[in-house]
Amino acid sequence: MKLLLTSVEQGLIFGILAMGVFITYKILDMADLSVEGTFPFGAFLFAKFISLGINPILSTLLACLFGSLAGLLTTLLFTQLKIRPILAGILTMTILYSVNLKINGRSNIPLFDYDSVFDLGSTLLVLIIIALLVKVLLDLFLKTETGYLLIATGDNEALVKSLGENCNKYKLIGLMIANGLVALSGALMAQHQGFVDITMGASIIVVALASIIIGDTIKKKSSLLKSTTRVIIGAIIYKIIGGIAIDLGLNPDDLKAVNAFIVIAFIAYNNVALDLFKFNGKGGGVKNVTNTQPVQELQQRY
Amino acid sequence: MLRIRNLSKSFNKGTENQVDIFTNFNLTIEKNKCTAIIGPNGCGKSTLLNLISGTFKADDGQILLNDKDISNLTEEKRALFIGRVHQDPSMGVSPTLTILENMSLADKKGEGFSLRRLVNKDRIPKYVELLKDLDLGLENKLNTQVKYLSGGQRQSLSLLMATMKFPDLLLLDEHTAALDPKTSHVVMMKTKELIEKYKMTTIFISHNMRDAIQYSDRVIMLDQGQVILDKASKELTEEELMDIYRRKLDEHLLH
Amino acid sequence: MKKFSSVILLVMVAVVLFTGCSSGQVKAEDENTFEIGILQLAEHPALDDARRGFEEGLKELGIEANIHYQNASGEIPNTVTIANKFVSDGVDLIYAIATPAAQSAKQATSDIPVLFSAVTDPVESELVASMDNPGGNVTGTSDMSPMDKQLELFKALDERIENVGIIFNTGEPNSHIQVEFAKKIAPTLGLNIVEVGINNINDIPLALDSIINKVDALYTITDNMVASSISLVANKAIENGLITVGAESAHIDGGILITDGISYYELGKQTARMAKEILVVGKSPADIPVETAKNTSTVYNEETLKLLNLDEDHEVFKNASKIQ
Repeated sequence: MKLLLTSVEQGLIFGILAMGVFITYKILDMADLSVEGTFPFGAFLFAKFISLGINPILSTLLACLFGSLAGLLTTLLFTQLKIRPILAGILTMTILYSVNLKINGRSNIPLFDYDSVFDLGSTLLVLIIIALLVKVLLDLFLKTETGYLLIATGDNEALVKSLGENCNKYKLIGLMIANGLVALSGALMAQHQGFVDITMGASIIVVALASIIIGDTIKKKSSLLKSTTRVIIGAIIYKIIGGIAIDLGLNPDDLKAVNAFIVIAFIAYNNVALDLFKFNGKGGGVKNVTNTQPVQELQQRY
Repeated sequence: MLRIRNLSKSFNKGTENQVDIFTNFNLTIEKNKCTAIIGPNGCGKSTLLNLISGTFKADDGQILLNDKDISNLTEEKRALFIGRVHQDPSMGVSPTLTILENMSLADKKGEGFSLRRLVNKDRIPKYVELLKDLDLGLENKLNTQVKYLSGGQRQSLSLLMATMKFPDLLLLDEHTAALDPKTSHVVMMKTKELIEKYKMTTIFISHNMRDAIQYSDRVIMLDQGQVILDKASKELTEEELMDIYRRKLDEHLLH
Repeated sequence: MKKFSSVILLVMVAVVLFTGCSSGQVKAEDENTFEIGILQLAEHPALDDARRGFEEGLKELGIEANIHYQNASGEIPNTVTIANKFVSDGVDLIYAIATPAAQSAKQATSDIPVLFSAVTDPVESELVASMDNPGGNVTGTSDMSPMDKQLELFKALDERIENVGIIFNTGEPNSHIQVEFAKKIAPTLGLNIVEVGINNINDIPLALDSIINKVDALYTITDNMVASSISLVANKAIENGLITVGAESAHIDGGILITDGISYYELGKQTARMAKEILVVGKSPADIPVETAKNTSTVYNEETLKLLNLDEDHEVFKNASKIQ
């Protein structure tokens, strides 16, 4: 059962990655392609801190914190230099490639001799705790005034302006949190696999998007609170299916295609069977309203 | 009171496509009253609204709101005391969020946004009260996502949200133009109720002359960046306005 | 719709459990058939050669083996999954091709013997404690090319050569290692290395243009990106009349003038012999020193030689095999 365990563990790590990408891709409606650089960035940062003798928990936290600077860079590029966000993300990714190599002076860093956060207990348990912690914090954040403005920025910038707020401020916050989570995910992956490598970021955005898409198919209640859970589950499912493909001994040449087909299958299921899932829907009419909770119930809820 | 002094605005300045919309334009909007601004396309009424809201920046001149010079404030800063309802029902709300969440956001305008929980359950009765006034049954749908509401419902909600914190000035940007006649009527009625109840200083842009006369205290007609009519609504009839309008159109066609 | 997704989940869990259980302990069909898991990082000629050499080497040595070959498509998380699958399957040996693959294998198990190949510096990658005493369950063959022999070829071909250019992919740890090594030994051979790093295959033409005027000759290291554009490099050099020396015979096929190098195929076979020591003789990997390529062969490209107007009767080309 080690294969299943590994898949779930990787799924949890990628769940954190996916939560980060969820913020930019789904909430802010921005394509932040810097993740391919930020993911290894977190790993390389971790390697640097741990090699300086800092304990693994703090090293991981610092990797997450400094990793959020990638989001700052991307924001500066599109707010100050007026570069299109999608391009800004690519530029950040490109810059991070060189930065990553510079941090430790090497493109591959073994971590076998260092402690890791997984020394605290079973790897699975530690990951579940971290993933849940991130999820809960994110959920709480999204219920705050700032969190809601983040959602509103992705939904309708005119509204945010009408509230007297600056959209760029919330895009910055969103990008920094997102990149911080991606970097955290990279730092955890490095500890999981035992080494850091410059190629770690390859195809990582596919994993993130696949996780989000697969997560979308599960229990389509549209409450944003549950979105974070769905994204983590999506990542785990994606990895489990990938693990099954490997376990079945599929022709190795077909592995990448199989992973792509998994994503396509879920998208098709989403679109064909469940009606096009649009975050900004154009539904209409009193008929569509399903929720008629009395006021008292609502007061209790909040 | 809104005072516009010597306002000038041109588009495509310095090119051969330069259009001078306003040149040394002056206008005073009375406090606590509703002023309708009408005119043919291109007369500058939308531009004027955008200049007041800060969406466009004037080339020259001053805009004073209650004696405060707001000419150099950004759109966001002005939004703290200027409410606006757009023509597009989706522009005033966040479709993914619920009615309750939208109202909670509007409720916090001007109070600063931090890491406090957004939804304050103690304020729910207040929201219900405001929604009840709309007679649309929305008070029972606080937990419904706004994207499931009709255009008229969204516009009504936008109106509520724009006025909740009693802005010094309310801008209505052809806010019923995208609605069907019946809904448009309902929303206009509610608009009138609201602005009369709170004596809100309002500028109301409309293509509909009847609405302009019926729902405002004063009607201003613009043409090519100039005021060509400025009368109290009760002194006007729809026919009169149509007449002037047609004459202006003929003039334009003859050019 | 909710039911549908629940059903899918149920089916998937069932499949996983089923396959998980069925591939529990892999039972050998008879005493002498070994279960060997091959973990290859990516599709690549050199790595493919290392695999084929290993498989054929096993056959030549009379070792019966069930080969489970898995390719990670260049993605490290896949190497982790595959390594863990092999551990789960209880294979007798894991053969990991390329550094990240070997590192994942090491992370996955400290019991099952791991043999690596196509790893340039096993010590720097922390796969082994030292070349002579690996310690632990991991050992194998390093593809560190006999660079000294190769760089010597420059002066042997033309005394005047001083500045030698090297293009390399900054993303490959093995490449950095080779470049550093070249810079270290170059002065002793009277040479000076001019390096240019790239991270994208599209940068190769630019990189070539930038150094072509600064160097007297080119050296092509064992680098996946360089290998993919070897013809381009070779042609550019020929156009400018530059002598080229390569680290592997595959480069010569692409037009590089000459090499005195390793063959990944032979390296694979060499690793197979190490497999025999472990599986049949019963040695522990900890006691088997890491090996570098035992045999090197000089190979040159006849057409390139002619295009560069060199003398085929030169000492260097005697006893060398040629490619058209």
